[in-house]
Amino acid sequence: MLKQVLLEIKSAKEPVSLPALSRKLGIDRSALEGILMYWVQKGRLSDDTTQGLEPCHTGVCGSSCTGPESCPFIAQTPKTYSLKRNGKA
Amino acid sequence: MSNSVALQAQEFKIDYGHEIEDEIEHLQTIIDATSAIKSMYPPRWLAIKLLETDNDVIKHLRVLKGGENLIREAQVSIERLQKILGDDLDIFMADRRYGWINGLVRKTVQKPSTSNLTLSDKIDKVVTNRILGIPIFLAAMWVVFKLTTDVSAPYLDWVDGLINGPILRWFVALVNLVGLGGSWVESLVVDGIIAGVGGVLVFVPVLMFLYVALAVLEDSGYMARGAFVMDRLMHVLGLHGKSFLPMMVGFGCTVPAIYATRTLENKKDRILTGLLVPFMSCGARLPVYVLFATIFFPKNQSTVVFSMYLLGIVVAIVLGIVLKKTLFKGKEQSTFVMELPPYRIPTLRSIWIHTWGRTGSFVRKAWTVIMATSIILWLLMSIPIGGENTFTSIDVGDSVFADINKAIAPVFKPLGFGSWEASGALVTGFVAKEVVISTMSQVYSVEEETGEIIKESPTFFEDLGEILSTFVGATVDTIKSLPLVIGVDLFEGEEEAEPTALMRAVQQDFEKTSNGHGNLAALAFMVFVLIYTPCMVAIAAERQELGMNWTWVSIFGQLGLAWILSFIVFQGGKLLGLG
Repeated sequence: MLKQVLLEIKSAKEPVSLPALSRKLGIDRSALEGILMYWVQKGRLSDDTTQGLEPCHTGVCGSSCTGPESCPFIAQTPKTYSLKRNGKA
Repeated sequence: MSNSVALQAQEFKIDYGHEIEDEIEHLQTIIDATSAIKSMYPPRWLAIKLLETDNDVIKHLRVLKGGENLIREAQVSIERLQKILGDDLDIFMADRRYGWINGLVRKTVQKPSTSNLTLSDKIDKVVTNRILGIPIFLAAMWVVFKLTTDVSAPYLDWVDGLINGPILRWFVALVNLVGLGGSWVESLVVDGIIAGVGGVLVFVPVLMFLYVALAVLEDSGYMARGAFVMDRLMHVLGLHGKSFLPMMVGFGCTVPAIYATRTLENKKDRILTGLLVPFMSCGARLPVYVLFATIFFPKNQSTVVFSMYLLGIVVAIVLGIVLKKTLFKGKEQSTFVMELPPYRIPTLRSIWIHTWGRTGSFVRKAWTVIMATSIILWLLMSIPIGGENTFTSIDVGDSVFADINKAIAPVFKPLGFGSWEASGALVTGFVAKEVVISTMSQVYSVEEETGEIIKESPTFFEDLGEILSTFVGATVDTIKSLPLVIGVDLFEGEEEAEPTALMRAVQQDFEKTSNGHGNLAALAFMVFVLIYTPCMVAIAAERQELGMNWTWVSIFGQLGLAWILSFIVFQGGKLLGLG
């Protein structure tokens, strides 16, 4: 089941939504999220959600942020998981 | 461990397959023979943990008698199993557990006999459809801009009246009260700060409506779908699918958008996306579009503004494809999984928090960066070049600022806006894009004599009354403007609002420099503002993320591309007999 998820992501020809992946594999959404987190821990997937936005949280970008805790322009970008370069399935 | 619990542990057993079960049994034998270990841990559990290379368990085992031997045996078992199974053993065992759990859930959990599709799934079947997805996203964005430009107009007029009416009068009265009337201080306050900062603050309602609309889309969950369909498009076009996520951030501000490129693992993808992000029209450019659309395209404001945003996306995608096939050739893009949150009704609190945060940032920028720039500009516009003029008592056209920009203006002549005022506004836009507007407010100096302001001045309480009554009027007009989103004009038959002095001055200037093709020149100007170099803070972010070389490429590349596209718009439009 774990490897099935990874294989499915690897073989997908375009970005996949989590609900669609859940339906295709017949795995409950919450279970699928747990599986994705497992692969993130194993280093096969990366969780990309807030990675790039850390400097804005520290207010060091020099823009007119409200303060070090948040940047008001960070859209509520959805969580994404992508295969790491050396990610094997 | 009590006998009853041990019995329960034996009854519950996941079958890991005969190869692994054989090794578990082998390790259990060794554990059973080692009393120090057997008394501490259930044998099967320990055997499984050793095969999974659980470092915490191994650490505790090392200090026990027989522990090192057991660890060595476990390592041999692992090597044997990996030769057979050909994969990380712990992953294989975890996979078995998940499979067992999944099977158990299927046998024991009864789900309602309704469709597996939730309401969100049903909506997504349409909204993320391969054919309908993008048109729906573009339609949603069009509604956002219709709301932003049409519905915010009454409040924009109110703020304009407030700043150039009561507030201006109060400041002038204050300056006269301290005996500085007619001095350079009054000039600084009126022609520098109020003209510059006020000129930008007028657009606060526009940005506020934009942020409200975006907050509704984000909070409802739709924005994630928009990002998903656009990511899919990017992937189809050969660009990295995740590129659109940083670009989406760029609609608010380019700076965090550039930092958001860190979500891309590959360096080439990060640089490419970082170069494309500035083409997303940030919130700071919106006042420029709104001003020019109001002046030159009053019947199609929202369409023109929307077109600028759309053009930015198109330019980014086209340039991205070209660069991907040339300078940034790379491996085929890996795909990704995106979580789509369930749809929900946006809460007023959440909308308010996001709107206030973003609008507050704009206002703060006005009182800091823009005020500082306005003061410097005022200084440059107050220093005369030769002649009999004196400090602050000059025609702006004879100032240091005008002189500098008269040297630059010829570059923009082929684009239809070759005046020093327009080129000066573009140069100062390097500080912050809002400064284009504040500079225009200052250079197209059309303020009445301050003596007139004082002579006709109502009392403080009359001013307060006027503010309140005009605010109520603006609120009523805003409500009446809401049906404009669906094309119903409740203002038909009513008198159009008089253009402001700034609007008249800009219109006259552009008509003059374009030899009567003011509309085309205005469009070319907006395209230039869209495409040219982003603000200095964004450049600093580019330098940090992309490196100095690519930053230079971005600066000069965007300047060149802006000039070319504006040229095409103006000259091409003239050839076609448009505008």
